[in-house]
Amino acid sequence: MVVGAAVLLLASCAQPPDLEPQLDTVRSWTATVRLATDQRRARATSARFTAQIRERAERARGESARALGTVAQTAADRAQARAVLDSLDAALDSLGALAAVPAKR
Amino acid sequence: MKKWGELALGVVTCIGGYLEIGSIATASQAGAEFGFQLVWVLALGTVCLAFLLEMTGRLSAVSGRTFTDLLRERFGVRFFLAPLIVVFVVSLLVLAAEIGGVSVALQMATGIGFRWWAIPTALVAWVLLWRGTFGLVEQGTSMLGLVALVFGVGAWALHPQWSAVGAALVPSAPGHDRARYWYLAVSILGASVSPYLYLFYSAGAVEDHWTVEHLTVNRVSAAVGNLFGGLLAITVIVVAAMVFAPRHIRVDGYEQLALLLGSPLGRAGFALFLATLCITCFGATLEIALAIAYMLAQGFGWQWSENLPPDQDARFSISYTAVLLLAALPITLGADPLALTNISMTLTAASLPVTVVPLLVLMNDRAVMSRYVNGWISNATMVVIVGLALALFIAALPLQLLGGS
Repeated sequence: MVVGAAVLLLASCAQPPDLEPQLDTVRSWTATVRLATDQRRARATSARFTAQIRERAERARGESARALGTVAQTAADRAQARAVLDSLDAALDSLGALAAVPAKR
Repeated sequence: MKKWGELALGVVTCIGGYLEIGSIATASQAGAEFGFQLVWVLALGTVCLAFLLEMTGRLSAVSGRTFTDLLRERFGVRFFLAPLIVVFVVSLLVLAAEIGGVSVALQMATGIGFRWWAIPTALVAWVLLWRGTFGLVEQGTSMLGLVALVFGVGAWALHPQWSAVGAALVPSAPGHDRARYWYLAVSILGASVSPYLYLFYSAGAVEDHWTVEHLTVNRVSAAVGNLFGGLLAITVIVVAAMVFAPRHIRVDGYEQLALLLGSPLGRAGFALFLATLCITCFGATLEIALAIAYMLAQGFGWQWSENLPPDQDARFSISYTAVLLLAALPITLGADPLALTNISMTLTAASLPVTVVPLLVLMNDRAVMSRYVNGWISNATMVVIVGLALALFIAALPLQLLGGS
C-alpha cells in the first residue's frame, strides 16, 4: 500500500498530458451539459443544481482549455481543440438560457 | 420466531448498508466508461464480502471475541501494529470520502458549498454516536438506506437488456482503455470489501451477544443480504451504462452523478438520488467511525461498547470523536471528494491481504474455532480473490497513472 501511494504521487507528477484524453474530457462535459439541459427542461432537476453543474462545467472548460493550449502542437490539433471547446460553449449557453426558468411547483 | 426476526433484520441491514460513496462512485464510473462489462468485478467483490462477513461473524460467535481481539492475542502486539496502522489509514481516507459524499449531497440540495458541510456532518454523526446505541447505528441507518432501492427502480425503468447484464458476469477483456478498465476493477473491489465492513460486523456480533446458535443467522444474513446488496450495486452500473455510456459521459465530478436518475425517474429520481447519497454516506460515516474506535479499543485493551454511556468507555468515545474530526478536515480544506474516493478505494483493495491473511490463519486454528474451522471452499475463495485484488493493483495502478491504455 505504501509503495502504491508512492507510485501514485510520483506518477501524477510525471504524467504528460495527451491531446485525445483532453478532447474526450471536453466532449464528456459537453454531453453532461446537454443532459443537464434536457433534464432541466423536463423539470427533473432544480434550478439550484443546474447552476452548480454549469459552474462545474465552466471550471472543467477552463482547466481543459489551459491543458489543450500546451498539448495542441499543430494547426490541425488547435482547430480540433477549438471545435470541441466551441461545442461546450454552445451547450453552456443553452443551459444558461434555461437558468431563469422557474422550478415546477 | 425471534430467530426469523433476527434473520430478516440481518438481511435488511446488509442490503440497506451496501451502497455508499465508494460503491456508487466506482459503479457509476464503470457503467459510464465500460457499459455492463465490469459487472463481474462487482459480483466477485460481493462474493468476497459475503465470505468475509460470514467468517468474521462465525469467528465472533464461536469465540465470543472480536477479530481485532484475536488478531492481537494470536499474533502479538508487534505484528498487530501493521494491520492496525494500515486499516487505520485506509479507513480514515474512506471516512473522509463518506463525509465528502454527505457534504456533496447537501451542496447539491442547498447550493451551499460542500466544504461548509463537512464539520456539521461530523458533528451530527458524533452526537448520534455519543447518545445512541449500537442498534440505532446499525439498524436505523440501514433501514433509511433502503432508499437506495431507487437505483433498482431506475434500472428497471430504463429497460436494459438483462441478458447482456447477465452475460457480463463472465469476465471479458476491454476493447479500449485497458489500464483504466483494470484500475476501475481494483477500485470496485476496494469499494466492495472495505476492512471497516468486517471489523464492524465482527464487533457487532459481540455487541449483540452472538453465540454458536447464531451461526445460521450469520450465514444467511451474509449470503442473502450481500446477494441483494450486490444486485443493488449492479443496478448502479446498469443505470450509468444506460444513461451515461451512450452519451460518452465520463464521471469526473460528483455533480454528474445527480443526473443518473433524472432521465428514468424525473424529479423524484433526482431527489431520491440526493437522499440516497446523503443517507448511505452518513450511515457509512457512523459505521466507519465506530469501526476505527472498535479497532483501537480492542487492540489496546480498552473498555468498549457503543451501548455503554461515554463516561464508562471514555477512550473508545474519544477515539470516534477524534477520527470524525480528523476525517472532516480534508473536505473542509477543499479536497476533491471524488478523487479522495478513488484513491481510498484503490488503497483499500491493496490493503486486503494485511487483514485477510491473518483472518484465514485464525479461521483455520482449531484452538480458536474448534469444529467450526473454515472449509476448503472458503479458504480457496479468499486466497483467489485477495490474490487477484493485489495482482490487479500492482499491474493496473502504475499503468493508469502513467496514462497507458
